[in-house]
Amino acid sequence: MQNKARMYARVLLDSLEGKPPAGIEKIAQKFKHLLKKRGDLRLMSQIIRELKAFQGEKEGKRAQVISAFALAEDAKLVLQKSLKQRGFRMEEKVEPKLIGGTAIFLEKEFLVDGTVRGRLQRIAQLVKS
Amino acid sequence: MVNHDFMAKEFLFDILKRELQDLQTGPTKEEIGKVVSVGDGVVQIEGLPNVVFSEMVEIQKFPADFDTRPIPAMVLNLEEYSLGAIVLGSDKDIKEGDLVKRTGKVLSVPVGEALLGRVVNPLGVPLDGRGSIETKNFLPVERSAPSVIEREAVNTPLATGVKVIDAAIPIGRGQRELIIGDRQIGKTALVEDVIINQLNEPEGNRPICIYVAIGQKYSKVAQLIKELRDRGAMDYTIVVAVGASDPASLWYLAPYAGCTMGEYFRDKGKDALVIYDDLSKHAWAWRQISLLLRRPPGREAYPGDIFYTHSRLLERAAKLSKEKGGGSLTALPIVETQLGDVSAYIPTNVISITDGQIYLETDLFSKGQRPAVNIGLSVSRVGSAAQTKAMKKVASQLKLDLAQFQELAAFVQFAQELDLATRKRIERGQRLMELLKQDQFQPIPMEEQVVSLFAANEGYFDNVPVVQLREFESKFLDFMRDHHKNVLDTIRTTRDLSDDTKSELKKAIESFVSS
Repeated sequence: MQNKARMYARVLLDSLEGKPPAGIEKIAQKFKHLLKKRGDLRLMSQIIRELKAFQGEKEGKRAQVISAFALAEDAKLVLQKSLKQRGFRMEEKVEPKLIGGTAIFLEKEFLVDGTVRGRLQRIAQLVKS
Repeated sequence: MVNHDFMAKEFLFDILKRELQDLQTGPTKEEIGKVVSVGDGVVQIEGLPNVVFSEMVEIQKFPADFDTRPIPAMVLNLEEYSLGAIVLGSDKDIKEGDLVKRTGKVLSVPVGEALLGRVVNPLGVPLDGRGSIETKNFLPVERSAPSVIEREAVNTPLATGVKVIDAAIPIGRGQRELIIGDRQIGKTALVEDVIINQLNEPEGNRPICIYVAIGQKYSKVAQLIKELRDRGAMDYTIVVAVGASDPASLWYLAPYAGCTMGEYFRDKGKDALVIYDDLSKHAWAWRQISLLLRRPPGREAYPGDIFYTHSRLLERAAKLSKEKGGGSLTALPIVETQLGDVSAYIPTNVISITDGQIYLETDLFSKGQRPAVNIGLSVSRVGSAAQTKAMKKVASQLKLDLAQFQELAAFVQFAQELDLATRKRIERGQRLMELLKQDQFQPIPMEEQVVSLFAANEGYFDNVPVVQLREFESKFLDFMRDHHKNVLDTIRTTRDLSDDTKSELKKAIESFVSS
């Protein structure tokens, strides 16, 4: 099932490549009809997910840095540099709920949690258990 | 109060100190995944590149709330780009994009003596409001069964206190005996009696009972627990309960969790008895989960591994060899049939896995034969080796008489027109059937069963009208307890019916009959 969605996404991506923005909508419409005809309309959300993944692959690995406050310029530079060395492209996000510190998501697979909230959470779990 | 507060503070201080001692200065890399979709208790997850099969993962939000606990889930499908996991709890708070963390552990449940008398769910969480379970021992829910050399043939009887079972379909410790029948026929009542009867066993020899209720009404379970508690049977019993409204993942886990709790005692050299009530509901739950995980359906839409699901569970019931401590785990799975159809898929599966079955029949039940055991269709393939000598001596005659009676059962209506010998056989059969009737919550110890069946075999009950037989029997047993306790004691301790005991018993019966 996954592979089917992937196949559709690959086909769509190939046919969209190099097309002017006006043509894109037309192709998207046609693609929808094609899915309907083949009875695969329910795969739509999976196809979109695969499409995003392909897009992401093209753009390189993504590292999302979430911090409680906007990063200081020098800290940002250091982070950006070291992430780039590992082949990641940095994205920033501010989340006041974290209280302090930063958390870094490396793609969808790893998390480096250096936030105050994360640490408190661990202590809270210890106390509860 | 002040003291209490102080202690709580001390406790917290200790925890914080410990946490700070273990604190790593640099943040560490954690392996995570993200929830892609959720529904019907099944989540699809992306990420977690190194997760292993049947590992526990925890689902939480990011940033996490302090007042919500992470929701546990168990990984069951490892695919190329995604994972399928079953949520062990409510899935209503899980959203797309939620964080999934590895625990590095396979699902384990608390085990040990602390569980005795408790009611827990399949994750070991107490449901009875009697506080947390103080045990440090945890064992994985899925464990492999003992191998061939670790086992021994079944050789010790498990007294059920039910005359018809102990005499005709004896169960041994370490055996797997299926209890099968339609709904509302007394399957649960039967196993309840088996648990209660363990009170008659000496404490050192008493098996620990584990009752696993799968997808049952909580009202029914609560009533059963009350009955057990009132009679003091909860002291050696653990109840693993999953209600009808709990997620299917918990239905699926319940028997494995119960089995693990029993195995702890088995491996310690003790005896344990685990009752799965019932495995047809367990099969439904596994069917539901498998279909949601998009595994290919087979016959009656059950997944291909439904047989293995039950066989690996029941294989864990065993009698261990002396080198391994000699403990045992007896399994009494229950399967519900539809309209008495024992040839349906799940019943035939479980029949072929177990070492025999006790078949309860609607016809017998409506005729007033309770427990409604059909002796012709019920078998125990290994239990007779474990039967006590005393019981064996009276049971062989009983089985013969009953078999002859069943052959002639069709002629019962015109019994008056038959020859004397046939009529006698029919009358004896009717009396034996009457004698095998037993009310609920009245398990009978082995020695009393033996004397009662002995009296019937010897023909002392032949002159008692059938309708008065049970009253006669109970008076007879009262008489034996009051005036001939030594005979009962001899049978109980020697577990045999020697010629001396026989003649003494005969004298006792004659004196009762003449009075």
